[in-house]
Amino acid sequence: MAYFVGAANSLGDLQSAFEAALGNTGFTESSGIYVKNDIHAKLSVVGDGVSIGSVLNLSVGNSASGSVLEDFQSSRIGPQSITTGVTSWSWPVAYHIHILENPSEAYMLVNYGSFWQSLSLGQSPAPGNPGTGIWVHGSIGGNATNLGESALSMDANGIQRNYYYSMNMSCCIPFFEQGWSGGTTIHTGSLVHGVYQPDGSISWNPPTASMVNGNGANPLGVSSATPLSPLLGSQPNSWNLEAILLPCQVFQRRLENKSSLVIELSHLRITRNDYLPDGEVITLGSDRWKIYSAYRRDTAARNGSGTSRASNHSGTFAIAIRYDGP
Amino acid sequence: MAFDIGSADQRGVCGIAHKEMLRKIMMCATGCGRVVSYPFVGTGTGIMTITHTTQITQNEVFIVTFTGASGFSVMGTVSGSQPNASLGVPYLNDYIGFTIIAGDTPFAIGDSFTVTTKASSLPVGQRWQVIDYRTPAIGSHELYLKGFGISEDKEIFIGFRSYENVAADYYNLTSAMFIGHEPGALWASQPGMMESGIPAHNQNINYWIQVDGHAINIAMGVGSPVVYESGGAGLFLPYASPNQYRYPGYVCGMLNGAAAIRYSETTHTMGWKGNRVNLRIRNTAGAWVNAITWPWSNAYVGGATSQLRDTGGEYPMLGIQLYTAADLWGQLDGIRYVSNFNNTVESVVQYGGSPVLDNPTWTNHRLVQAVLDAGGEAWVCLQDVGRTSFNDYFSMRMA
Repeated sequence: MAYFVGAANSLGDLQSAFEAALGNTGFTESSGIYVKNDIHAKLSVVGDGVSIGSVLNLSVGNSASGSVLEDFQSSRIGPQSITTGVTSWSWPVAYHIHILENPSEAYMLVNYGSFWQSLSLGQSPAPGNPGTGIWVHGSIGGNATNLGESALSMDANGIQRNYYYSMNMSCCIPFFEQGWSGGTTIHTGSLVHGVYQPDGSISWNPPTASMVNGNGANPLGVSSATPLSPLLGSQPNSWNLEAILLPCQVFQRRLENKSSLVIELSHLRITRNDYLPDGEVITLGSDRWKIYSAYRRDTAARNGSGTSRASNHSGTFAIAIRYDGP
Repeated sequence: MAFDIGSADQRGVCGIAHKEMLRKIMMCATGCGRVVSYPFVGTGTGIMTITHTTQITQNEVFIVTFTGASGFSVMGTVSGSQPNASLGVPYLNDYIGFTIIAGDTPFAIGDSFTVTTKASSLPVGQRWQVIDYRTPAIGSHELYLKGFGISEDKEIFIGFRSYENVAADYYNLTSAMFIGHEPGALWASQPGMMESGIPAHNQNINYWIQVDGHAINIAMGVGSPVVYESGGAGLFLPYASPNQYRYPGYVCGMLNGAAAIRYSETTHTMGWKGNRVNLRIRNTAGAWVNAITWPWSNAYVGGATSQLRDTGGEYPMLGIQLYTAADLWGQLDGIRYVSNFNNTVESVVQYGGSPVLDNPTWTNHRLVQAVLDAGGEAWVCLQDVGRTSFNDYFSMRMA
């Protein structure tokens, strides 16, 4: 377990910091690919690395040939435009990197002003998962085509309904996308290897599948948000105002109205930060957890934006990552 | 944690199954050992009934061999030669007790029972104290227990009692919780009393008992066709510090109080599913409230829209979250949700250990023991009365 904190003046700096953290914590590097167990990870900057539209891309695959990843998926972070009230990055930005073991999970949180984006990866298969259980998450979906908007929509149960703009913007909670039944396509920022195709074969979850709409049309949708309902909506507790750190269990919607537990992130919890400022460290027994907003904390509109387009905040939805820093 | 799996019937010490069940709970709670199996080899058709284990029952095997003239020798692999037993006479040594009755075919010399025993795994400091056992009426036996928690510094008051009606042909138990014990008070007047009925049987009960320092849970298979009744009482695992939430109690059963309902009634439902009067928790204000339980409350995991199934043949045991409208109180310990997709009642899910065990000829207790011996966790899957839909199962850890 390791924790790194620092500042970056470009996406290239963030790439260097993340690669250094991986390289110092058990990942081996070859031709720019960082390998541990079944994880093959590659970071790259697209664009000039500082301007709107540039992204830091994280690709995670099951194998590699030289410098080329194979059977991989990608996700991203980066500055967005300021349209519809969205705030872009102002350099330098701060980063927090958590590298964790058993199972291997790595998280990079980037902070600009009161906003947060995250880029993370891991291998956290549920027992029986027929895939490798490797996963990648970023605040911008790898297949998103419109990088100019980052409106974020959530409702009282923490379910993110991505009504607008082809789901460009995710949040720091992996697999929190829920999708929408109204026809708007989502481009999830979270992908895992080890979901069941209708024919029984194993694949990555398609970035356009949701769990709510999973049966029939999209039988491969996965989610960590839908399974948490209504627990996350009941937080923090009324009797002591404390919020429980809930597990990030990712379930897949399968055919015949069934679901399966696909992965469970061991070092990340989902919670509400009504009374928890960013960076707060919670000690529970021998474990310590660091709190980060899902995007931007807004206690005045704690249940997120609902269907509002330009909310530009994540209410009081938050994550806690296992922490061993000072 | 400790457990026992076995059967209680009218051949036991109490002469009636549901009261014998109280005695089985008492033995397991107070740290008595258990009998894993007692297979017979020979020609006689007599029957052995296990009646006792003790707090010094240990891991060993007793060979009970017919020696003629209605006598049996008893030889332990660890404790050595024990006093002889006699046909039809209750037998008790320091470690086990049993009764052997004759069948239509007499025992032959050399016929033998092989009785495998295990010591209780309940730490001495977590053993429950029997603070009273009352028999205020023929139908009512009352077992009052005091526990000390896993931290061994608490005071936890729970109880189990029998109630029955011969004319209506029901012979039930209740699980109950109190906040103290008043020796002069009746059961119903004990401080903070809350109870829930669990339909049982007067003739035969196949049981699963799970005990740890802060709670006792039971499940029973009764009747024909068999239905499964379950419940328990004690402290759940609260999402709070001990100083914040001092008595996070729960009472789970199948009925609203000691209702006059027989096991064959078809609408009663296990409390584990939550959001009903037969699962109550004691909140921080000291009030008993109905708890809702996740994942049964989630439409996509344990609900109506989609239901959990296996992952590549592995069955995840989902923790049962206890909550009310604005509070998530905690989680049950050792009781979980398990899918009934392609599952069967009384199946044993093995977590870890090697090898993976599955022998359909073994008894449930023997299979659980084999999983434990292999270094795995053993979870027994049980159902809600006679229901067999995808969301009608729960699991009990046996450890």
